[in-house]
Amino acid sequence: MADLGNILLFFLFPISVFTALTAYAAGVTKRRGLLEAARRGAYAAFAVTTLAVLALEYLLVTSDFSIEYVASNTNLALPLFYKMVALWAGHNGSLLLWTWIVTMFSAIVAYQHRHKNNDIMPYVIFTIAITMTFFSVLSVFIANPFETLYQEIGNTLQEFAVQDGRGLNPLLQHPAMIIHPPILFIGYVGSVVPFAFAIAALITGKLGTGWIHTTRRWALTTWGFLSVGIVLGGKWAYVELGWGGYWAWDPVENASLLPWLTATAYLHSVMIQERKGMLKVWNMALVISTYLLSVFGTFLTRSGIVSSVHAFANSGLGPAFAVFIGLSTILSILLLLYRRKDLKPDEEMESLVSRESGFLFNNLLFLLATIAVLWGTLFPVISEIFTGDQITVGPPWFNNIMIPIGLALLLLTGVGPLLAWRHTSVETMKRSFGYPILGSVVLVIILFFVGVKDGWALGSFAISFFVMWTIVVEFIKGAMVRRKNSGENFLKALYMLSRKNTRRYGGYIIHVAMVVMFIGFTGNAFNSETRAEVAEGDSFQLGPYDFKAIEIIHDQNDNYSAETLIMEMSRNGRLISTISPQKRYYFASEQPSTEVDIYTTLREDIYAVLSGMSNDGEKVIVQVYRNPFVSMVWIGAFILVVGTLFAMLPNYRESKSGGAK
Amino acid sequence: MSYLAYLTGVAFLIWAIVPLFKKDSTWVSLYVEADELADRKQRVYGNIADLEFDFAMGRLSEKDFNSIRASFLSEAGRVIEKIEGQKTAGLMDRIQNDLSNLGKKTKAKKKIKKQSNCPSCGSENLPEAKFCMKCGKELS
Amino acid sequence: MNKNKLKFVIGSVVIILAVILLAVQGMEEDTTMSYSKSVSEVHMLGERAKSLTLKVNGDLKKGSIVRNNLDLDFTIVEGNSELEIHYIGKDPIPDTFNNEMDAEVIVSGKLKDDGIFHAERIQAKCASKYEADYTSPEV
Repeated sequence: MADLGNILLFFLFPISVFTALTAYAAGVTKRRGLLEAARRGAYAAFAVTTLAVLALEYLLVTSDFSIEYVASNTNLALPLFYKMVALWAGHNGSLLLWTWIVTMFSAIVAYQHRHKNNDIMPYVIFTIAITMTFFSVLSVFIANPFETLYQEIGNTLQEFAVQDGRGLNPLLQHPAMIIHPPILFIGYVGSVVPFAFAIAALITGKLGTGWIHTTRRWALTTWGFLSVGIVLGGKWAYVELGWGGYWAWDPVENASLLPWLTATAYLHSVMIQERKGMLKVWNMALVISTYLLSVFGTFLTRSGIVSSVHAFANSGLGPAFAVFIGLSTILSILLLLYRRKDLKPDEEMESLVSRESGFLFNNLLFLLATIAVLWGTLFPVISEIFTGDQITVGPPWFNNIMIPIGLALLLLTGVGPLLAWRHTSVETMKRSFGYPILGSVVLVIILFFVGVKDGWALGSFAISFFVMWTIVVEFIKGAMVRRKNSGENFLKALYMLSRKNTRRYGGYIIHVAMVVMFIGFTGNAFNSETRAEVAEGDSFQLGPYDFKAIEIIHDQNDNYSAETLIMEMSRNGRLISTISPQKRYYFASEQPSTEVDIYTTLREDIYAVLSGMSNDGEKVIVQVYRNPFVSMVWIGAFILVVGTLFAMLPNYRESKSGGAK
Repeated sequence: MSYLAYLTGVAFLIWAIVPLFKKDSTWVSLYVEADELADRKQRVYGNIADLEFDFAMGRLSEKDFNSIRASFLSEAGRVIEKIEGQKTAGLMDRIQNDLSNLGKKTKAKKKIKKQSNCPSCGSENLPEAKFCMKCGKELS
Repeated sequence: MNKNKLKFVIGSVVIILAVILLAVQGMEEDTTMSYSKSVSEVHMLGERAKSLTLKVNGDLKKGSIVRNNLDLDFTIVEGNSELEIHYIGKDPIPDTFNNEMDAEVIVSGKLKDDGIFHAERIQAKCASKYEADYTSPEV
């Protein structure tokens, strides 16, 4: 089975090269036969990679420990489900997953456009096939998941199998971690599709909004997956790493945030191009950067260039990635320069107070955020080159710069949509913003007297309130206008209004999601924690909560042994729940693992970690965090998914005869 | 077992190569200018729709609304004339009609003529074109 | 350049300058920046080491961990240089941390006058062990 997988995977390389060559030739000669061959090449690449993935799955599930990847990432006692998902536990496997998703997307794109866009499709397939070729080289020659274990006997190398594997990293044995990598990968890889269309537009000179319309759903889907992937990564860190938070500006986390920032900027700035014919170069640049940053993200997590808590080993993939990213960047820039004359704006900016200028400032902020995160992430590398010292900038640096940018962007989500294109008069601004501003000021005063003294937190709450108000008013006002014209009742009007422009109202729902998430982020300003060493019967306090240690349990199964502390938790003297953090020791991997216990309410999380045993074994050390509003982050992410799905619905079209106006 | 894998791989490659040996034809690409005009028409219509929405939501004064709308309408007229290659009577009425039908179902899927080839030079033009973009001859 | 464009450029420049200011102001030697050094490099820094926030990596010296209630002391080594660590942080101690483990440790904190390193954070590198160095398998 290993041979089978290996050989099939090997075929991906010639097929990708074939696809790239025929696609390019089709573009030059415009011959249908060549294009058909390229399309089939894309399907064939998907087919062989799928078979290779299935072969690896088979090896994982049947625990074939003659394969290094299987032996390093699974063991016999591992539950079947975890054996299956071990496909993306190590980097050879996750690279194969990446490759597989690329081939899948290229096959889908080739199929979707089999009867249309003949002019650009050859170059689209060509661009994706180049990416495919690169990843096939990595998967086949540098990080092959089908490699067998070797042993030196005398002077010859011989294959051998181990009795049992080393097991799956316990940190990865968590539901969020199981879906997080594939979702993030779909987000990363998805960016290749808009990128390929942008490159095709540059090559063919068809630089209108055609390529943007064609890839709108792809861009949005990719963005949605990227968002969910990032949040799931945070969720995983929160419940699994046991330090009480979900975001630490770690290089690997930043790597996923970077393409998200540029992708978000892009989703906004296309609207300027569609309405005003401006920012053509800029949109191209954003799509290209999103793709490059996605590859860079993979590179960062897989090369070990910047050390991280997620701690992936240095794998020798670094140079290959560096060359690929470098070449892609240079070629993209050359193409942009080549077409710069055709990408001139059709119109000029007219007023500082207009929708388009709102979008422009939005993009400027996203750009600055991207640069800041990139700078901070790569600072150890940059500083080592220039000063010889490897200097890391910590979370306070990121917070110092990203909190103001984040709040400014949040403010824009409230202001921007209320501005008219071209020019908004002072009168209408007063009308739109008067009450929301007044409301926010009142809120700040109330919060201040209730005891919120943190300046950033007050600002954040005020802005959140303001944005929420303006969005709700947008929906209500829109529905009322529609009701007046069509005579529908209010709810019907509200529904029809949003169904007729899913992109606008889906966007608003996503804005609401961002507000909710920002409230969650702001909760960090009020975190508190305590640490205690307790024996059975001891108790301690955190804010209004009392904790009483009831029992310490020692326990074990095939996979791990565990110590559990069971505590009773009461608030203001009333018993509300038990909370039982656990510490596990996995036999196969010889790794301990912390299982936190979290008591979640809408208002706050109580998060308990068993951090260790005392010397005599009678007492345990327990750490308890009180984190307000954390659940808002997850709720916000859920709303974001709803908004994204809504924005992808096709606009509802009324029949010509029915409905007024 | 492994010969099976070789067989599969080679089979896929051959399957992909086959179209190269079939009887072949080429396609003709749409002119870039035609693409751009279609783009501009779409943009003007989108702008007018947004403008009307913004006005209905009270985001701009009636004076601004009227003057901006008028300039959009004349731009739409210019674009359409360029696409069709001639002055057309009742242009404004047609635009108004287009606009009021924007975002509504088109009655029964009309046979969509994808492109129209020029009878004299063979170039492809936009479906609504009346004169060839390349040689200027009338299209049937 | 017309008037509107000028206004926009001024607005952008103000924002960009503000962000640069935040970035520069955030780079403080003693709080937000930490210098990554190995144990021997720390000793080579001499007196300067005490003015910096350091991120020191080394291997955990087996058997050196001493726990006393909530306190934790241990030693990290690199070749024949050693560094004594006193943990003053609040976060739970990483899972890989016990006397039987081969762990590569990164501590962040400051070197005090008595030559003991006061660590606010401890990271133990462990996940990398699952890859690459697949050593001494039993047949």
